[in-house]
Amino acid sequence: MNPPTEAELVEAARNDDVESFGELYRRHYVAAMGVAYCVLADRHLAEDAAQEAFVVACRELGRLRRAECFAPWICTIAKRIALRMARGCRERCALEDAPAAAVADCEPCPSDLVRRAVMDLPDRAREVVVLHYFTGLSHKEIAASLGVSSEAVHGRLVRARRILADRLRGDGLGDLEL
Amino acid sequence: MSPSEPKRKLDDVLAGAVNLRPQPDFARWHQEHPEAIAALRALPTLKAQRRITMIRIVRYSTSVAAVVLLLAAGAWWMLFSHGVESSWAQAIDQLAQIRSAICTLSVHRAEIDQVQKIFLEGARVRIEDSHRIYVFDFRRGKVLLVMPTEKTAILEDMLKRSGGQVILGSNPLTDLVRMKDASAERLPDEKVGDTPCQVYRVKDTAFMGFKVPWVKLWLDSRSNLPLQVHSLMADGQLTWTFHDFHWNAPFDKNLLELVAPQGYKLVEEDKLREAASTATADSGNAGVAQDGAKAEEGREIPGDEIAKTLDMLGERIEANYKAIHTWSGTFDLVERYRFTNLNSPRYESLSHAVGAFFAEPGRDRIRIDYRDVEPLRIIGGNAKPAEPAPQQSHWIRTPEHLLHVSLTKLQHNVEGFPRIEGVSQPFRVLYREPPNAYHNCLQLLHSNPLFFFGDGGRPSWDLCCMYAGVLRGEKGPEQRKQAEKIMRLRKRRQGADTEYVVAFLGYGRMSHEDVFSSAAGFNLVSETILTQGQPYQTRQYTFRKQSGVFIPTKFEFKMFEDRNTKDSTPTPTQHHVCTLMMSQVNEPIDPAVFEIPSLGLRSGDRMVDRIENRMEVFDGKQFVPADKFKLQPVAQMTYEASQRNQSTNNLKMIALAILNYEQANGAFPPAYKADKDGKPLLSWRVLILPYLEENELYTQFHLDEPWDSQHNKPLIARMPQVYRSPGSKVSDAGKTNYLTVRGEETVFPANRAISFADIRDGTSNTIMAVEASDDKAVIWTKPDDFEYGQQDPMKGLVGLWPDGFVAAMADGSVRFVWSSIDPAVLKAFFTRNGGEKVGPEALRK
Repeated sequence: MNPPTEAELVEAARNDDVESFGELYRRHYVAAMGVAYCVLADRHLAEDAAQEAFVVACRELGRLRRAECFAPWICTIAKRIALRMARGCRERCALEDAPAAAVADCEPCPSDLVRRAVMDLPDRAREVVVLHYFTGLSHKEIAASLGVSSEAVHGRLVRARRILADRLRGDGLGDLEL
Repeated sequence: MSPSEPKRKLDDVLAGAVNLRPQPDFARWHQEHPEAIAALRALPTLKAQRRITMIRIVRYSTSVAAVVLLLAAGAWWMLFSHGVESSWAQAIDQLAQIRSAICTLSVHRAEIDQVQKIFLEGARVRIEDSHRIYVFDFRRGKVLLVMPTEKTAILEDMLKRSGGQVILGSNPLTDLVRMKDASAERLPDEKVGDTPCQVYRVKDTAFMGFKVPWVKLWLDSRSNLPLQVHSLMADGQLTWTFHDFHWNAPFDKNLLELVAPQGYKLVEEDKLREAASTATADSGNAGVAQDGAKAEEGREIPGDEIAKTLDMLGERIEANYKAIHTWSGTFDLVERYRFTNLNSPRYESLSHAVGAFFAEPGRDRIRIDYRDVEPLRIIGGNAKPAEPAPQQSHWIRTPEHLLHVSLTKLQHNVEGFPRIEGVSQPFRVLYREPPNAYHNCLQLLHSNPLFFFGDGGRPSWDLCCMYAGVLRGEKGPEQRKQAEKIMRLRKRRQGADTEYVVAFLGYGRMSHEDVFSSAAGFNLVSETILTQGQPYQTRQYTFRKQSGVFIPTKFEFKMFEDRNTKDSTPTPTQHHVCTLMMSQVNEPIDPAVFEIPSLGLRSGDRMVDRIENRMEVFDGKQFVPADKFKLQPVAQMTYEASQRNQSTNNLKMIALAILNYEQANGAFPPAYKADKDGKPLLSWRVLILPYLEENELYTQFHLDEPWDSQHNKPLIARMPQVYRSPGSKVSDAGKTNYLTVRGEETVFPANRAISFADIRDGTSNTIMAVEASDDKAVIWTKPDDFEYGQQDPMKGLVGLWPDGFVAAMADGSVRFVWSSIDPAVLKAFFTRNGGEKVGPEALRK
């Protein structure tokens, strides 16, 4: 038996079926968090943003016209919340730059280099890399979350891999034992 | 270092740099964000009309208040646009200059935001929110309520609708004029968002048609426009935030007419009210007619005796309940739901459960065992059947905690536990939660026997006490006044029995009636909610006397579509019937039934402890922390899982190399390279070497010679690491287990190269390569691959892992395919254009 579709879950949630909303939450939480991570580069903040996105979704579910588009919709909400949080963070962090500079003198570990390289990617490439490698979503799941085709995801991933390979080689990571 | 290493490391490094694989914990989110769920429930569905009188009045008042505030805002705007020095009284005086206005504002009440648009001209106002339109005519004292979802418009008398409490003048300005006489207190400045504001508080004023202790206003210090307003209402504080003022702006004045839009049915509220009262009385008589005798109308108990009578009922019910020290038995529950969404075809679901319960009300502990729960059945519409329900589940609630264990055969990866790849042993999961999680669970467990003693988990004696408390003014004078207006208590004879009927008549379009009967020890035997004379919800409880106390034997709940007309026979959208059998009262219950060991857990079963916030595993005697347990009996599984992980990575890199080949050449690699005569020479595994960073090895091959030519044969020993399966015993001989699925219908049809467009089943639904067993392993350069059998397509694939095999899909993802998969489904995944309707989720079977 096939599980209920997105549209059915959304309709049921609008009809007060909290468990259906729970299923939507379970299906899309990881993608929402991944999208938020692309902006915030912090797991905990990204989790906060994803949770906040579902709070907003609860409030605004009535305005979602195409129920089958829940995935890209929730990801867009998560992204907006993450952008708002990032603005707030930047304002706060502007006063706290001095100690961060001291830390920057240390030798970065390989995973930091990779993370930085990924975060320096163009927006679209960064999204697919984070969603595919960091959150483990398949091409199809990413396509559904971003509202694009699987082929587009594949193409973005191929391009992103090339950029990353060049960048990491430049960072000397190619010679490191991982 | 082999030239292939850097690219392989890119995937490893990327996958290992950050792990963002959280286990979504909806239950916790639900607990932490109750306001979100409240908002979800408040979405404009049919249930929106369930709200009772006070809320309706407040909503109505909210609208009136918005108008009043709008006018106040206009006053300030007019004042400051003329450069006059501000004062409270002067601002009010400017109101006369306002002729019309359009405004948008946000209303925040009870954690719910709502946006309203307002059109105003003189004493006529139109307010639109997301699902309703109100048109007020203060001169005529009428309000038109337009409900687009129901294609109905209701014309009401404002004064009657508000229960006579709204103070109406000729128009809303009256309230503001009264406000002028009140004292406005200047408070310290505050910020609304980023905008600095002056804050005023006006005390003891008539506001929103009600007398309120205070109204607090925030005025933008720069523009002097009001940005936000707070007030205290019967059900909490309200906040308005204004946007987009357009004073004296032109708009279509037809919007303010008290006329139903075209195609809408116009209903007059007074007639509905009469119908509601009549129908409630009828239903009250019919609802509890147990012996066929027609109940007499009964004597109405005077207002000053109602509270006393309700107290008496509460005491009797409580005494009966407290005489039940132990209670156990079995139950049979049928739940039927009828989904009636406007935008999708109707469908119905039906589920059936039986079980047993053990309760000790005095010690506040209960155990419910659900057994043989049948899967949900979906009837009609285009809805797909849901996942099968758990076969068994147990619930134990004590004052310390709530335990529930689901005996569903879960695969690995229970939420919150460390992910262990490849472990397929079924686990049962026990959840330990705070006891206050009980009421959430109650919503799922309509058959809870204690539920029978009252509505929604509230014991019915508590219900009586609450009613009595309201009448005594414990909830405030407004509620008391309201209750006195609408609450009636009748005492009547029903055969040899006495019944007390508590009725709430004619509030808005709703009526409510509770019947308490001496035949049931004065327990609640019937509840009826009517809207416009039609039943909306009914609950019927049947009791029986046993061992000197009254216990419930049957509960029936029905909920109907909310409708505004009496055109058709109402059909229940929810219908639950629960029958209690084999009840034993005040017989000893073994205390062990409330303890964890009685749940029959086995070693390896897991517990999510939401009180201590940790994961534990049952080792046969007790629960131990999950990480410690993993080191012992799961060690072998972990080793196997790590090997499988490595194999998954290999296959993922091979798949990406194939996709990179496709991108560079416009087509997938052919299954083999052939000579002019079509004779196979070298495998695809050689052709993709450049995309595995093995270009140096690739150039060594003579591509026009067969794999076993004198030149090419020695290269077999240089098999790249990525082709070595970690579980394989034949890789040292130059054999690989990574094969494509060969066949005319697959992605690799012999010497012909296909493109993405040829994969019509979808790339995520088509298997491109597999990891086969050692029996099927081939020399890596040899143009041999896996060809599946029509009868048993799985043959030759399972071997390296006991319960399935690893496969790469044409979209580059890698999945584990369980050996229990249906052969027909597996064949569907092997073909690229078979047209079968399978999705990736089918691989989980």
